[in-house]
Amino acid sequence: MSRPHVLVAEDDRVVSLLLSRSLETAGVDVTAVYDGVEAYEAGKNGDFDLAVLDQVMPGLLGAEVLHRWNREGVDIPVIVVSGLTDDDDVIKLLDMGAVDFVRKPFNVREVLARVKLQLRSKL
Amino acid sequence: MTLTEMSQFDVVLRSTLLPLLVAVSSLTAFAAFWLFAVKVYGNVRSRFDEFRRASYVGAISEIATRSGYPLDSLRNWAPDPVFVDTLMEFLRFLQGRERDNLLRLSRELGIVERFMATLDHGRRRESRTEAAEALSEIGDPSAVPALLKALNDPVVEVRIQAAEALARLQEPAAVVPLIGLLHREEEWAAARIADSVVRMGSIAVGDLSRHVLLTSIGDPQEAQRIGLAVRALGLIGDPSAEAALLEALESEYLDVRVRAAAALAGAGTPRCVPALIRALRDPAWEVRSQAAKTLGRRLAVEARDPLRDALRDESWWVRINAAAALAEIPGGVEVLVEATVDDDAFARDTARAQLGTLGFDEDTIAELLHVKEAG
Amino acid sequence: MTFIEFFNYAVLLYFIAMEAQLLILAVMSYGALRKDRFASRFGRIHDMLTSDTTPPVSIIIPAYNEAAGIVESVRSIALLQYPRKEILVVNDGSTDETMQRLIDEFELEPIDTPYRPRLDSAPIKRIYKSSLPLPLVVVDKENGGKGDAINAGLNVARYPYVMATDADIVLEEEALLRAMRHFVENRSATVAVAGNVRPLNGCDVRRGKVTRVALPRRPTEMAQVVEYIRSFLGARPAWSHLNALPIVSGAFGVFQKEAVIEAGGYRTGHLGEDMELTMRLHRHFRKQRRPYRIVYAPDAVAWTEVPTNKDILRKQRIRWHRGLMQVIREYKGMLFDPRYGIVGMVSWPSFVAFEFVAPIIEFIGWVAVPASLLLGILNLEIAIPLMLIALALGAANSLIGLILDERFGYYNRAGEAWRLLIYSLGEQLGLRQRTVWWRVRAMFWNPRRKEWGDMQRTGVGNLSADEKVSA
Repeated sequence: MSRPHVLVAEDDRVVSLLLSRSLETAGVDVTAVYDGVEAYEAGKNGDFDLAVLDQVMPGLLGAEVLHRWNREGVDIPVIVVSGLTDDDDVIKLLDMGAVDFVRKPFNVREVLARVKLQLRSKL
Repeated sequence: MTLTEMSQFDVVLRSTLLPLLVAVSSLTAFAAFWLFAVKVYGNVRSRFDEFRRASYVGAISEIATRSGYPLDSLRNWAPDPVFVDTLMEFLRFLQGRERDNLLRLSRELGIVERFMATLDHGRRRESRTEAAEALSEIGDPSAVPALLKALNDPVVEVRIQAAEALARLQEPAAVVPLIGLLHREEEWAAARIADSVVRMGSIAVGDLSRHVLLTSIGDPQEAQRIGLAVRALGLIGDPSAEAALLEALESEYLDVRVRAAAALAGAGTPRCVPALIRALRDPAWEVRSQAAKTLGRRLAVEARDPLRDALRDESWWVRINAAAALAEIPGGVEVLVEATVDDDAFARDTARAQLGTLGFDEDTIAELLHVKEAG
Repeated sequence: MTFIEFFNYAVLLYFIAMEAQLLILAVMSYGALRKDRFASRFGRIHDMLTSDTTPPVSIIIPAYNEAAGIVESVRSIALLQYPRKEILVVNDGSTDETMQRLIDEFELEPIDTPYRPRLDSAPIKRIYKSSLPLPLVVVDKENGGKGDAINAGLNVARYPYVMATDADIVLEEEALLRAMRHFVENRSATVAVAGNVRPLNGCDVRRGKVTRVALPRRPTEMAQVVEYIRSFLGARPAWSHLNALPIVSGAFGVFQKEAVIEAGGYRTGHLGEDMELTMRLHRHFRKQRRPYRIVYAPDAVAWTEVPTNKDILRKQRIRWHRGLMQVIREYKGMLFDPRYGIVGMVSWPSFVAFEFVAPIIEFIGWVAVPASLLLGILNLEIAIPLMLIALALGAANSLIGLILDERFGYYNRAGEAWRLLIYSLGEQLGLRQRTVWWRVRAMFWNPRRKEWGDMQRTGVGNLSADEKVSA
C-alpha cells in the first residue's frame, strides 16, 4: 500500500517543519504550504488523504479553505488547528465539515494521534 | 546702542559661535559615521546569525523527533547564544516526548548550569532575566536553589520569572516566599505572581488560606493583594480553601468580598450556599451580582427563591446574573416563567429576556404559564 | 545694533532654542526606550495569549470607499495574535463596492441586535456578522466622517477595550499584544496606548503581512521615513514617560472604551480628530484629578502607506496643520494652566511652540535673514555661523532619531543605512523649508475654497496616512 499523503498548511515555519518531520517518521508523505491561498490551490490540484490546516493564516483562513473546497467539490478530510477560544467558532468549524479540531498551543503528539486516527485505514 | 557696545556684543558672539558650530557639526558627523558602522556591523552579524540559525533549526527538529543523535558535533554549538535561543524557541511550544528529548540535550550540553550561574551572578539585568526565563522553560529541578535565591533579585522581572519557574517545578519550599511576593509587589507584578501561585496548585492552598485568614488588612492596596490571593484560591479550586473564602466573604473590603463570591464557584462546596444567599443582600451590587453568578454555577437548588427576589434588584448586573443563574439551576426555568408576570417591571423584563435567549418565544411562555396555573 | 539686526539674531536664537529642546527630549526618550525595551522583551506577552485574564479587544476599522483594500485589511487584522478579539468594520456610507465586497468575501449575514447608541452618530442602516468562523462584525451606516464612524463602532463594540485603526495599514502580528501589555500592567489607570507608525512604502507585503522591511526609492517617500522616525522616536517616548503625550495616532491607538465614551467620543468633522481626542482625555482626567495614563508603545508597530507624490503630500500636510490649528484653538485654555499639570505647563506649550509658532518664525527667518544679508544690514560673521548652527542642530536631531531607531534593527543594509544618513542630513536643505512653507500656507487656507473640497468630505482613505508628524 502506498504511503498516505497529507497537506500541512501552517504559516509558522518552525511549527510546520516539526509537524512534517513527525508525520514523516510516522509513515506519511507530507506536502507543506505556508499560507491559505497556497493551501487552497494545492488541495484543488493535488491528491490528498488528509489536510491539517492552521486556522489563522495569511491569504485565507483555514476555515475558508475548507469552505471553498466544499463549495467546489474538493473532498479532503480536514483537521483544523486553532487558537480559537470561542465555542461558537468551534461549532461553526465542525458545521463546515472539519473532521477534527486541535487547540493551540498544541502538542505535536496530539496532532499526530489525531492524524493517525483519521488515516487508520491507510496506515 | 553705541558703537562700542555693539562691537562688544559682536565679539562675544563671534568668539562663542565659531567653536559652537565646529563642535555641533563635528559631533554630528562623528555620530553619523558611528551609526553607519553600527548598522552595517549589525547587518553582517545578523546574516551570520540567520545562517547558523537555519542549520540549528534543522538539527534540533531532527533531534526532537528522533531519539539518537551525535552529541559530539553539538558540543561545538552549545556555547553559541543563537543555538541556545533556537533551542528555547522549540521548548516554548513542544510537549511530550519531543520536549523530553530536547530537555535531555540541554542537560547534557551543560546549558542548565550555565543559566544557573548567570542567574546567580550575572551583571546585566537582561541576562539574569533571560536566564530565569530559560530555567522556567527547561524546568530542571537542580535549579531550585538558584531560583529561590533569585526571588530576592533587585529586578522585578527576574523575580517574576523565578516565581514562574518555581511554580512550574511545583516546588513546595517556594510557596511561602511566593505569597510574600504576592503581598509586596506592585499591582501588575503581584498579578503575575498570583498566576504563578495558581500554577502551584493544591500545594499552595494551605499557606494561601492561612494568609487570607490571618492578614489584617490595613489599606485598600493590601485589600487588593488579598483579593488576588482569594482569586487564586478560587482558580486552584481546592475545597479545603472554603473556610478562608467564607471568612473573606464577610470582609469589610469590597475587593475581597467580590473575589470571594467569585472564588466560591471554583473552590466552594454545597456548604457555602447559605453564605452566598446572604451575600445576595450585600450592600455592594458587585458582590450581589457575583454571588448570583456563583449560585448558578453551584446549581444551588435552594437558592431559587432568593434568586427570584434578586430579579427585582435595583442593579442591572445583579438582575441579569440572577436570571442567568436561574437558567442553569434545575427547576430555575420554571421560576423564570413565573417571574414573567411579577409585579416588578424589572423582574418581568429580565426574566423574559433570559427566556428569550434560551429560545422560548412569547407563545411558549404563555402556554407554560397556563399549564402552571392549571396544575 | 539696529532693530532689524536684533530681530534677525532673535529669530536665529529661537531656532537654536527649539532644536536644543528637541535634543533634551531625545535624551529623555533614549532612557524611556531603554526601559521599555526591557519590559517588552521580558513582559511575557505570549503568556497573554493563553491567559483568561487577557482583556478582550474590539478592533474598529472605519472604511470610506475602500473597496480596493478592505478585504486585505480585514485579513491582515485577522492575523493579529490575540486571544479574544472582534473585528468591527464600519462602512461609512461608501459610494463604491466596499459593502458588497465584504458581504461576498466574508459571507456576511444581517443580524438583529438591539442598537443602543451611547454616542451620537449618523444613522445605522444595518449590522452584519460573518458566517465564517471569524469574529467579524460589519456596521453599515450613512456617511458622517471618520470620527463619526468610530463613534458608531464604539456603540456596537462588545468589549471593554477598543483599537482604532485605518483601513490602509498593515499591523505587525504581535502589535496588539504589545500595546495591550500596558493595560495589563496598569489596568486601573491606563486609558490609552499609542502605537508606533512607520511608512510601509518600499517594504514587501504579502497577504496582509510585511515580509521584508526596506526603504522606498522616491525622495518624497524617503523624506517621510526620516520624518516619521524622528517624530515617533525623538519626543514621544519622553512625553509618554512624563504622562504628557499630546497625540495618540489615529492609525493605531488602543483605548479603554469607557474612558472614551465618558469623555464624549470622537468629534465629527474635525481635521485632527485623533489629537483632539487625546487632548480631551488629558483635560478630562486632569480636571477631575483622577489618576490616568496615556502611554506610547514604540514596540507596537503599524505600517502605513504614505503619500508617494508631492501634491498629495502637500494636501495631507496642509490638512494636518489645519487640524493642529483647530486643536490649538480649542485647547488654548490649557496653556500654562497649572491645573493640567505637566501637560498644561510643559508638553502642550512646547508642542504649540514647536509645531505652530516655530514654522512661522522659521519662515520669517528664511525670508528676513537672506534679505537682510543682501541689504548688507547683517554682520556676516555672526549671521552665517548662527544659521549653520541651526542647520547642524536640525541634522543632529534627525540623526538622533535614527540612533534611537537603531535598536529596532530595521534598515541595516549598507545601502539603506547610507541613504538614511544622506536624507537625514540633507533634509535640512530644501525639504525642511518646503514643509515650513506648507505649514505657513495652511494658516491662510480658506476652508470654503473649492480646491480643498475633496478633503472636507472627511472620508477615510482619500489620503493615506492619517497621522500627525512633527516635521
